[in-house]
Amino acid sequence: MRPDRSTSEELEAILERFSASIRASILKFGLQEKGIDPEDVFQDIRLKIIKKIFSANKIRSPASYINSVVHSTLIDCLRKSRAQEEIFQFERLERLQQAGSQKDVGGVDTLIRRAIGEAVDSLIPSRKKALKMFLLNMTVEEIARSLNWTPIKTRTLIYRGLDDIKKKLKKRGIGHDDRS
Amino acid sequence: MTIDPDRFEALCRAQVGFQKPTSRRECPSPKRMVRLLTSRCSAREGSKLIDHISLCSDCAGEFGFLTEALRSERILVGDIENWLGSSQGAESRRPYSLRYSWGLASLLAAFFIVGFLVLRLVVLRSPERYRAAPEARVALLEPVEQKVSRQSLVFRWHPVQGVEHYVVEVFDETLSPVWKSLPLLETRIVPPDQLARGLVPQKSYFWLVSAYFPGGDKWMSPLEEFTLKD
Repeated sequence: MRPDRSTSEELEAILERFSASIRASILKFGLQEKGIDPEDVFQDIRLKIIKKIFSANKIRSPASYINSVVHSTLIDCLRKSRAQEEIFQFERLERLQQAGSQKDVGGVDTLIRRAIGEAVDSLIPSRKKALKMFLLNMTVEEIARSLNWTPIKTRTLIYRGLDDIKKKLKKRGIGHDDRS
Repeated sequence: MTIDPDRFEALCRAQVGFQKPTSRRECPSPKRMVRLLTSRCSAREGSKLIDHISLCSDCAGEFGFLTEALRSERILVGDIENWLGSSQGAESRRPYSLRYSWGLASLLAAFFIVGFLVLRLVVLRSPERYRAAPEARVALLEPVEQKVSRQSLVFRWHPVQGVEHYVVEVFDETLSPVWKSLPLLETRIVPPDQLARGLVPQKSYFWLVSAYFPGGDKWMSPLEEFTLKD
């Protein structure tokens, strides 16, 4: 049975919500400046999904179809963006040199940040992996799903990793104020 | 020196993506990042990817974008599945067992066919296949599991319709051929003296008859044992 007009409007509303969140993510990570147009990304996904749903062939597994469409579109757009970046390699190097000359101005923070970096790198592999993903703004559930761990194990590894860092910083004379 | 929790967290997060690569050639492909996010890469590969992404500012940005995009995708999948469930009527709401009954039936049929073939080939194979089995339609009369004297040794069997000729063969207990007759038209034969003298008393011997037909077909009797008394 094909969806009627009212249900297809519902589908459009669902896709529009998805479009808004994709657009927001692109802007948040500054990918628009790297040549990724949110509209291009969304329209490609939208057309493929609508075409499949309204085609004569019944959609047997919507989840896997949507996954493959979204993943391939995201991968393609990041690849194109990288290819475009390589064209302007000279400008990129100039920007990096400028940024480099402005670095290391805030001395204390730089020292602490380096100490944290070394402490993270000295963690045991599982804690390091979990903590780095957590610092990349992934949720505990996402990390657990991605690494095939349980959420409890993931949460424990993150907390223990943070504790280890605090202990290592303390040894280097950087205390941690836990009052909050 | 003491740092408060907010500053600690900010500095930890600032550690991520601190390095700006001069080129992206060494960076992991977006496909590998998606594989990591969808738990489709090995633990070792995952560790390598995370080590790189957490240092490289460009990769950290792309990874952050992919993480959020996949988060939105999960919501999209849930919404579309709900929408399909409510709009596509009974067809899509059929219970799992009914939807997949044809697939299950095909699978069961395939199992039965394979099982039957295995049974036919392995279990039901005749144990007498070596010398006789399906063609064993020549019935032997004597000697059949008997002790006979050298003088009274005669081979006899039931006649078979339409036969062109018969051939009698005698074997020792290791089933090595001992003697083979010329083509015979009758259904009995007295073995030649040379054979009778050569047979050792109290030792087992075996014999069978092959019936040859004009079209080239051949039927064989089962092997029967006999022993000489003296």
